[in-house]
Amino acid sequence: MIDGLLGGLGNLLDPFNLLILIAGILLGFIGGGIPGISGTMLVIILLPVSYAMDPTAAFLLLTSIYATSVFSGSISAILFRTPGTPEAVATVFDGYPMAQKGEGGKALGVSIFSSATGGVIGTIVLIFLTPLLATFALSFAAPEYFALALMGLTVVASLSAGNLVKGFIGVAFGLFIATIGLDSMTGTPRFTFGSGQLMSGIDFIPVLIGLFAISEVLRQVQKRPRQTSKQKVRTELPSWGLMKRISNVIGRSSLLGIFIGILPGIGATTAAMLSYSEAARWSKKPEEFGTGIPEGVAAPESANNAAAMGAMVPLLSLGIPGSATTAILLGAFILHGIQPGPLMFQTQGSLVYTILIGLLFANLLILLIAKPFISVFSKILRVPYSVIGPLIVLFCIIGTFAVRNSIFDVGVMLLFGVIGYFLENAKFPLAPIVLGVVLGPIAEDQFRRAMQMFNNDFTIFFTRPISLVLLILALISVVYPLFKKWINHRKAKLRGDKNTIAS
Amino acid sequence: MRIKRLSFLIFLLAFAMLLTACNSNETGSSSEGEGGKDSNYPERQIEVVVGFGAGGGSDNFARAVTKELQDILGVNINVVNMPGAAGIPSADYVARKPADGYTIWSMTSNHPVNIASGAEPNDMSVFKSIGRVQNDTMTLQVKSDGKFKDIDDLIAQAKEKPGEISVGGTGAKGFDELVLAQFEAATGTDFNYVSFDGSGEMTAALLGGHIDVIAEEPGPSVAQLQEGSIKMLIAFTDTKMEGFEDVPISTDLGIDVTDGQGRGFMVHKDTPPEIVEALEKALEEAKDRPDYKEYEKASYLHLRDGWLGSEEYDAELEKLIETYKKILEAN
Repeated sequence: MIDGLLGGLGNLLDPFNLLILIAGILLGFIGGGIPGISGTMLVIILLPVSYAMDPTAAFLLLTSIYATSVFSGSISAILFRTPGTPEAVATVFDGYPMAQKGEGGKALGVSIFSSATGGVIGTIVLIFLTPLLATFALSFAAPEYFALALMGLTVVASLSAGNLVKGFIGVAFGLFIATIGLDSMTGTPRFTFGSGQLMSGIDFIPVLIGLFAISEVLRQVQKRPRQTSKQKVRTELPSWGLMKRISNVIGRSSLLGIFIGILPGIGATTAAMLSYSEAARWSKKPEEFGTGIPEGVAAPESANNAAAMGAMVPLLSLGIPGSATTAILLGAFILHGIQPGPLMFQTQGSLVYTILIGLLFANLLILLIAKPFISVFSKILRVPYSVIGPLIVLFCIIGTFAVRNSIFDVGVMLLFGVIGYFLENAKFPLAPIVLGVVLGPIAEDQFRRAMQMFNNDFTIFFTRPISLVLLILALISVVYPLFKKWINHRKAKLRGDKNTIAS
Repeated sequence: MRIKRLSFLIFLLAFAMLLTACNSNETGSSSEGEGGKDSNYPERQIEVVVGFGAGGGSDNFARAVTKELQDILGVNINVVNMPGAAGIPSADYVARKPADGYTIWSMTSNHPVNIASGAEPNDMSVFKSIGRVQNDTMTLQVKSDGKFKDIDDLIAQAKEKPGEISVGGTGAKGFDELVLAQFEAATGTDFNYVSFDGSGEMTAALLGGHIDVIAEEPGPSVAQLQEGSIKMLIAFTDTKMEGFEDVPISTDLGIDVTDGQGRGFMVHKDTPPEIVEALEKALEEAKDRPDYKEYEKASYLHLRDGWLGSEEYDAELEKLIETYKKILEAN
């Protein structure tokens, strides 16, 4: 293995390969930074180019784009509340409030540091534990997926900014949106009203872009134009103290991210969402999430980069893609005449190790290249909002259209922009809606698949150990806050009683 | 203050208009069939619409063929993905475009299934085939060290425990489920069909021992088939497959199920016949080119010749729809 890694390093240091790697990193940065161009899209665009290259250069290019675009989606999420890539959805929750507090530079620094750390941890795990983790991933099936999604949904209390009722309404609304379209288990149309467009359902990207980016543009146009000379954003990497403060969150989120990335069919977006929820759950002050704290940026950013690496585990070891982009990489391997799978480490060892070393470098280089890149990018902030606003709307339209080439989706996106605007005016937290839209389809499909697999036997959720543990965790997180409230209430009452006796 | 509010209202109104503009479908009246005698077709860029996401089997297929067509026809061809609902929205989009041969639909066997189940309003009266290029082979696969020795063993166990053996397939009321239903009818068995979103998750569920059998083509699980962790019990075809010579084929076992996932192209029914002919010729040439052949081999799609011309494929589809309707009614 060490020989393989050294060989991979040797391949990587070939000037041409190094050049390709750096080109891939820059392309990933730019593409991820521009709202509407996701890493998946960039990989598709460059696929034909890669056919002309030898496999080593081709896969260094594609995988470095894949690794870095996940990071740079956070830039516009933090600065403009517009996620540059779907994976950056949860970064919006705390990144943008930080930027509004004048801490945009700090937020970007945290994002760089967390992404690079998450990516590096992910790659190291990928290098050393791939066969082991692949076996572990196989022990997950529908019941476990359902339990995982349910656990994510129960964290709504922490995400509802103090108003539990509105939080629950939000989640329910999100879950409802997720049910629109053809039922994936029986093919029955639901809430489609005979419309062919609604049959394919409401994709979460238009909902998300509308709720956050468009609603914010609507709000900004109401403000007086004087505050255009905004603060200058100076990206600062986290100080030692801050690093220590967020290191726990980064460590936990990276591991969670890798783990979720490994599961086939669940990608980095879900990983970012779930690790944000988990960070809020395990935090001592969950109520601060959503108000602009570094932990809220660190959790999703480390998780999505780690998950992107995790998704490579089943691809390389089983030939099973763990996410949308790895599915495209699988196609690319096949068209290069290489079959990823159990035999790949033996038959294509040199290529695999070169890719792994390349991924390690790409993630490390985020630390080096991101800062100058962002300083160029954040000059955009000096442009008056009257120019920026329409451009954001334009990018949102292009980005939404590009997902499925659907004008209907653009309409959905604009509609959710207006909905988001009014909801926020009514002090409705938006995060629970996104939680419902992202996790709803997973929870529903997997629950029903579990029922299909085990002939409608409900007990399987409790007799399968992993599923049981996850469900118990979910139950605790629902009951514990209520219990704590009750205890506090009793304490206060006891104290009150004592006081009356004393007086 | 009032002016500000007013201007905001105007902004919202403009927004609403943009919204309605988005919702009103482009109703390019389809029956016009621009400029009847297109002797010099094609003169401009052609759009090929794929009803599935980028990077999947159907998308790779469309792109591999398109690469050759571009060269043969001498114009640029754009591949557009419109994933969702088993291809129905993509069919809807193509049906609304002018019948001039500049919008081509890349379709699969899901189309006849959707028509038979009543989910697809754009039936055979709306589209005309250009040709079928591929005819993949459906197989049943199990874990090599699992509980099924061979196909007879599987059928015997299924008869013993009706409805208990789970078979994974992709999609609901889709092609995979229909082939399984045909197999059930032919053997007098009853399986528990479990639908998955994609073959990746399904193969993982088989390897993890969570389901018993998968209904799948050879391509997606070829890594495991080569390594030996998964084995094929039966292939639904009438000729032995290259590389899988020891796998029993359905017709040898007296099971008359040979449907494979077909992939081809269609255009609007009102497209001038000379354009359909030109496209049919180009397609027939494209599928024999070396680059395309190489892609077919790499994706394990070369196992049987799938070519059917425009008229043959139309007839075949009509036949399939009838068969599928009967199966769906019986279930």
